[in-house]
Amino acid sequence: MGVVQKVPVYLEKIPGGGLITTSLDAVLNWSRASSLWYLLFGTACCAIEGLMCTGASRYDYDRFGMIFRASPRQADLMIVAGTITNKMAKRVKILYEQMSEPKYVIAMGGCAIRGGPFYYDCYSVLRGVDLVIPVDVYVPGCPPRPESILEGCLKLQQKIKKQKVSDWSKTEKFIPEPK
Amino acid sequence: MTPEELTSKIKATFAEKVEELPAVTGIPAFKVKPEHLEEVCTTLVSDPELNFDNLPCLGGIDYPETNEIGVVYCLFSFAKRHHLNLRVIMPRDNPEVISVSKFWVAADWFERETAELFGIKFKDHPDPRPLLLIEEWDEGYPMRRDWEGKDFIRMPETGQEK
Repeated sequence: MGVVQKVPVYLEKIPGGGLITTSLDAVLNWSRASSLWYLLFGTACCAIEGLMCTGASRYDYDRFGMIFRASPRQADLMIVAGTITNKMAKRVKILYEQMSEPKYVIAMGGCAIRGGPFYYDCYSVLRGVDLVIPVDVYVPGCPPRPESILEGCLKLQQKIKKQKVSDWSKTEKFIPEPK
Repeated sequence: MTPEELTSKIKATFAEKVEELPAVTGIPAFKVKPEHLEEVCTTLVSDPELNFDNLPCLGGIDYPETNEIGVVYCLFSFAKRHHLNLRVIMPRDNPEVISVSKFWVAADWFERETAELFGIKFKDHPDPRPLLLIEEWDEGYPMRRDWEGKDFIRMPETGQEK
C-alpha cells in the first residue's frame, strides 16, 4: 500500500484489507493536479526563465509531474510566457481552443498580465492576455524568478484540487472576443 | 580604407551629388537626393576600391517639424572592412524612392518593413507586400512621430525628460 502512505489525504486505509475508498473528485483532481502537461509556447524572454530554466534540472518541473508537450492537443496547461502582440493574439486563441478540456492558463510576467513595458507608446502589443483567453493564475515579475513560477504552479494545483466534477457541466465557457 | 580616405574618395567620385553630414560614431555619412540614389548605389557596389557588398541595416527617419521623411542606409564592405551611412531625405507628403534590393538582396525585407511603418513607397520593389503588422491593419503608419491609433496610449508627461 505505498500509495496510501504517499497520499494520505485522499485515501482512507481500511485495516487489514486490500481495499481503499475515496471520492471521484479526489481521484480526478489528484490526477489532474499531478500531471499538468504544459504547452511548449514561449513568445519572448520569459520563456527562458519559465520554460527553459525552470524546466531544466536545477528547478525541475518534473517533480510536479509537469512535462512539456509540443502539441496543444496533449497539453493541459498553457504558460503564456512573454509579450503577446496583436498579431500573435489570434494564434494564442487558436492554440487555446485546440487544447482539450480541462485546460488551465498561467499568465507569466508583466507583458502577459498587462502589457508590461509596452503599455505606453506602443502600437502592436496586446495589453494583457486575459483580453483573449481566460487566465487562472497570474505570476508577476519581469521576468519572474523560477521560484515564482513554481509557486504559481503550486497555486494552480491548489485551485485544481478544489474543483468538483459536478461543476464541470456548469462551467461557463468564457472566451472573450479578440479586439 | 580609413574613414578619412573613404570620405575624400566619395567626395571626389560623386562631387555635387552627395552632401556630407556629421560623422556620428566615426562612420562617414552623406546625404543623397532621391534622383541620384540609383547612380550612387551602382558606383558604390561596382567600384573595386569602394566595393560595398553588404547592407546591414536600412530604416526610416521622420522629421515632422520640417515636414520631411527619410531613409537611412547603413553600408558595409566585407572585402575592404569599411562602413558608410547614406541618408535620403524626401518631402513627407508622398515619399517615393527606388528600391535598392537589386544591389543588396537584404534590402527586400527592410524595405517592406519601412514601407509599412513609415509609408515610404519603394519603386520597383520585387515583393511589395506588408510584413509585420496584423493582416487587417488600416490605421496608417505607426512609426511616424505624430501617429495616433485607436488603442494607442501615449506616455503621460512626468516633467523628468527635460
